[in-house]
Amino acid sequence: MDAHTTTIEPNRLERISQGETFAAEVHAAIHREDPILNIEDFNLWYGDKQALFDISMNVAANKVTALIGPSGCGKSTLLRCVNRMNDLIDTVRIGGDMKLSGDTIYGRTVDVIELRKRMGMVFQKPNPFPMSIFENVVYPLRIDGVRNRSQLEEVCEHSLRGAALWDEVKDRLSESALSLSGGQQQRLCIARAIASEPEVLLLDEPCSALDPIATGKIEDLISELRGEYSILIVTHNMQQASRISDYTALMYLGRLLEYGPTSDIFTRPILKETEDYVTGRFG
Amino acid sequence: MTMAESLESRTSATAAAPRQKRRHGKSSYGTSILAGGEAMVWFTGGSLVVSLVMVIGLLVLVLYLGLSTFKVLPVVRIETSDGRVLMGEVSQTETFSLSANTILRESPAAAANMIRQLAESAGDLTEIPRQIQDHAAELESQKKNSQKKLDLARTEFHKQLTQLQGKLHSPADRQTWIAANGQSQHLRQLQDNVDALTSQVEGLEAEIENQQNAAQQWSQLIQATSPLDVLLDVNADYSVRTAGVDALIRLAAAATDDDHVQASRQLIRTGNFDLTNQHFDWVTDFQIRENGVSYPEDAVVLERVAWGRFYGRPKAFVQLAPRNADQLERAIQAELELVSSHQHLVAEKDLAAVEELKTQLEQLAQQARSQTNATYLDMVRTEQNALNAPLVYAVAADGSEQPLAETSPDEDVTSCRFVWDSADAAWQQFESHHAAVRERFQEAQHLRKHALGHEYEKQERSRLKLRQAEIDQDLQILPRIKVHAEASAQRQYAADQLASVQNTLSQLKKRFAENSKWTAALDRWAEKIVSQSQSQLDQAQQQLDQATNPIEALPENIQSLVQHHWDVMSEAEEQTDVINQKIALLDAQNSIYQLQMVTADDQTVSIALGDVVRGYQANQLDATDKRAVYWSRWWEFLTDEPREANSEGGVLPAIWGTVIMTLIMSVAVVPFGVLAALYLREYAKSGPVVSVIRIAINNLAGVPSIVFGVFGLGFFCYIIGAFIDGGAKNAGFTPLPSGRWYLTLGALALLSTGAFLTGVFSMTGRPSERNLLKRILAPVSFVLWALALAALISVLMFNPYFHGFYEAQLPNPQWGKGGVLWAALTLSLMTLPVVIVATEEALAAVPNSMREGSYGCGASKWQTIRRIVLPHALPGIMTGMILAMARGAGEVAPLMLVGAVKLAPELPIDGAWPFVHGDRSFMHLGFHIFDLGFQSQNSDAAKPMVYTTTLLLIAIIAALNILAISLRAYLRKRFESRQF
Repeated sequence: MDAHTTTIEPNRLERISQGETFAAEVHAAIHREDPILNIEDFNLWYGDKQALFDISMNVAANKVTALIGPSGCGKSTLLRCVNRMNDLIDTVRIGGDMKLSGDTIYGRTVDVIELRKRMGMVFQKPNPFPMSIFENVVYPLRIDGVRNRSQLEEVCEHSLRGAALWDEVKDRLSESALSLSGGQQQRLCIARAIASEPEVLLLDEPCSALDPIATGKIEDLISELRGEYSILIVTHNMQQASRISDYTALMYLGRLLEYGPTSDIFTRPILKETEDYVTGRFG
Repeated sequence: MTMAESLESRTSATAAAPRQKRRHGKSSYGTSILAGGEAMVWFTGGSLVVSLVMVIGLLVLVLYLGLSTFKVLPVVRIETSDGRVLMGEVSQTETFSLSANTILRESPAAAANMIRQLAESAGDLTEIPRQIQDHAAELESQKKNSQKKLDLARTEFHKQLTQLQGKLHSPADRQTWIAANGQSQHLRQLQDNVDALTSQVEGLEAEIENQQNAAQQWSQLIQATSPLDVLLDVNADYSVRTAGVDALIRLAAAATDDDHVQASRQLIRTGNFDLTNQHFDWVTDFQIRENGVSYPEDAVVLERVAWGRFYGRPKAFVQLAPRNADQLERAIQAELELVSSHQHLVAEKDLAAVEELKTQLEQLAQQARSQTNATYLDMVRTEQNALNAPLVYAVAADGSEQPLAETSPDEDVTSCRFVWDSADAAWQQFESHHAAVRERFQEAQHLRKHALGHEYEKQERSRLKLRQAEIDQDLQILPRIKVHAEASAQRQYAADQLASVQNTLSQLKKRFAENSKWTAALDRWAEKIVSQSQSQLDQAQQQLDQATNPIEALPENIQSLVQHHWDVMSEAEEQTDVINQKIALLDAQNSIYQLQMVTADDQTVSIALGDVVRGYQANQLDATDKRAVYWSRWWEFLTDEPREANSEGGVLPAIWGTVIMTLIMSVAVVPFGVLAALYLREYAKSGPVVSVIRIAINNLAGVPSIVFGVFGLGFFCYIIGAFIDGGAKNAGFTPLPSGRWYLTLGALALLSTGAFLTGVFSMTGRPSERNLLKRILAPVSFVLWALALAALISVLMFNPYFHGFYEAQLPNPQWGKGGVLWAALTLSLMTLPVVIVATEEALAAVPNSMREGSYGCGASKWQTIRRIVLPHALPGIMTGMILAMARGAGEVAPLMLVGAVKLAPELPIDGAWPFVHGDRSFMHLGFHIFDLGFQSQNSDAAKPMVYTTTLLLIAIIAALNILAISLRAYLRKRFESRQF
């Protein structure tokens, strides 16, 4: 769409690695979407080491946005900043802000617990709790103090159906979640994440520990969830990003390089580096 | 095995080195044993096997010895050649080398017996002189050896001496003097050595002379008499005889190609401590007479409440039929006593009349007695038929007995005895009565111990309440009450006396009413008697009134308290009387039975049936009976209280003590340990402080347990306990003046509020966003907390208004001494590191992904810990608890300081409020083992009990562990799959 061809500095990657900062190339299509999450000039340091540099991006509501980039580029860090998971690490300092549906995330008066309840998160390795399947799914409600049996059962069924797991486990809800297969466990984690009706679903490389068939199922599930939830997914797998996401952001060494509709990123990127990356020439 | 293994691996290691070098050149594989790993498999496996063998060996030893303690052994009767007769169980057999001294020390008969036996195996006795001479020659060579050593030592001594003398004669400087001093010490040692060797050589010389002399005499003697006669001659010269017997032993040994002649001896458990002052006796084999060992069919073992076991044969069984005077006889007896005790009050003119009256009364008494006797003897005859008793004796007042048949009603019979005088009948009677008697005995014991104790406790509580009032109001109450109580008792006595005198007199008057010539005299006399008693009563009443005044002077509320105290006391006394009557009745019912036993050496002993715990005819039992006795001993061991200084009876109090203490300890240690570990692992930021704390905790686990005992005694008993008993003063602190105490209280309020506010303020917001003020306030808050804690401790410690909960009973401590609670707390302190370390490890093992998943769902830190981390870590925490329990239950040293005792009168847990009595001292199996093994007077009898108690202790610890492990399994299941 945006067909202007900028003259590409051939050594931008090198200059970034020497510490220079460039403004990200953001495709105009993004601005036409409703943003659910605004990231504004976000910086992050682990102790003295800066890990994120002036990241600004809007995540579209009810769309799937993929974060790609080589290892160590800060994708996961950025994702974990969205629900303030990095608070758990003592040495982390941040600058800038994020906004969820217009509410600040890093404000002084923000209740982190409440904030996290508005987002669901799924991790790289399936991490079901050592409880029954049922208890796993309704865990977010349990910690909210919900005791109404019928409500719990309803949410459980709804979430498991949402995670396309209901038919497989409906007869053994009281069994330990650890008895499920890896793919099932990851879908259970997704069911748990959507049980509290979150505004944003954060997926941190959800398929990296799974076999191809389980990966396929998860990808199908993400496609089904599209439109219902706003999804931010970190992935290593370019094919996966191209298959399931509406928008893609490419990061490099803590900087956002380019951000735009997935089809544009993969077929006609603005930056040569993006093209190099998606075609596997670096990273 | 491991030695061999390690040697092998070492040699293979050295051998492997050159081979490896070669391998580079030839590039060949696998010739090194080490590289193959075979050696290490054997080495490590061998270590495992050795460890296992040791553990299994321990268990087998304890099991074997522990289980065999209660085995039923046959009773053996041994007659020795010197006329001793022993009866008992063989508890140990051992062998020893014979020498002339051991033989000749015995009685002549026993010695002769042994000498004959030896002479038989020795062969030619004419060899004896030669043998003695050989021995002398041997000694001669020994002497030469010693002489050589002595010469050397002498030479050395003189060399040193001349050196020293040389030094001392030359002009001496300081250095030389010091050297000389050292040398003179060396010289002294040499001198001692020379002396020792000299006396050795001299001793040998004397012995050689002795032996040669003996040899000479022997060769002369055996020309006249046979050698055996010489050996057996008790009048012979002792040294000659000793040399001969020694030679005989050597000859006998040579005949069997041995160095020594072995003899064996047996330790016989003879019991009957009350008669012989010993429980055990050694018998050497050659002491036993020919055919002196038998197993009498009627031998009986009695396990008694006191004095240990009794071994003997039943002789007779006696049942008493006491004679009770009837009402008439008693009344006349009372009148007669009154008359004779008040004769000094009779007026001169009435003397003759009273004398007549007295004679009359005596006649009446005689009549009444004969009448009672007739009924009584009839009753005894009927009973004899009913009991089928072979013999009945009537016992007179002077103790003489005669058969019932020869007794007339006129004789002064006090009781009758039914006697079964054959062993079988006696034993039969014993068995038919024993169970019932024993039951009554135990009931009486129970009443004595618990019911009476309960009444006493009630009185004591009431008294303490008064004592408390006395302290609170600063009044004198108890001494006044004491005076009052004494006066009151005296008045009661006087009143009773008067009533009884009046009663008896009226009876007397009624009895002689028709005889008018005595009436006047009797009236005059009675008046005097009554007036004397009346004046005694008046006097007592006056004293009581005097004692009542001070009590009426007390304030109203105290008076009501005193009234209540009296009510309690009189009720308790009534109850005590009732209980005592019950006990007396039970004792009377029991005392009519007696078993007469005869010991091995024919002494007759009467044994009350109630004192016999268990009796059995050891040599007549079949396998089933033996098993029954065995298991009944076990049952007694597990359910009864100890007796005989803990060496007999049961260990129930010790079992209870151990279990209760371990449970309280676990309940105390687990929450603290888990919370501490949670803070260290989940909340504290890792840094040098946390590391130091962690190291300190680990070191705490290595502190010797007795140190904890000392701490427990000093802190829990003498500070906390004493504080509970009697406030600051009793715990050794000087209370603050009240003004300063209130100041401290105010400071506490200010400090804690300040600490709380600054703490909350400095904790808000993200760590990275905290500004300088907050960063300064955080340590300030910490300091304020510390100060507040110090203030809190001083407010408690120096409180001038708190005088303890048990002030009334001071100086007797309630909590300020060892008790089960303090022991449990001391041990929980000791086992705290175990729980903390295990819990920390369990918490660290919870995967971080679990925590993140929980946080991701919007859980707070505490929710995550409670719902995810703790359930996940619970099995590990339980493991820590199990380790702590195992360590705590087996610990003895600290308990000796903080409350474990040899014999605890009461269990730490019982039916009386508040059910668990943390202040009571308790018995503990571990301490019980120590006590049995090393503190017991009858150590031979106690030793087997050591193993049995050890077995029990192991079993209890295993049971506690199994309980904890099954609890862990249950919890694991519950938390891992919650049911739908």
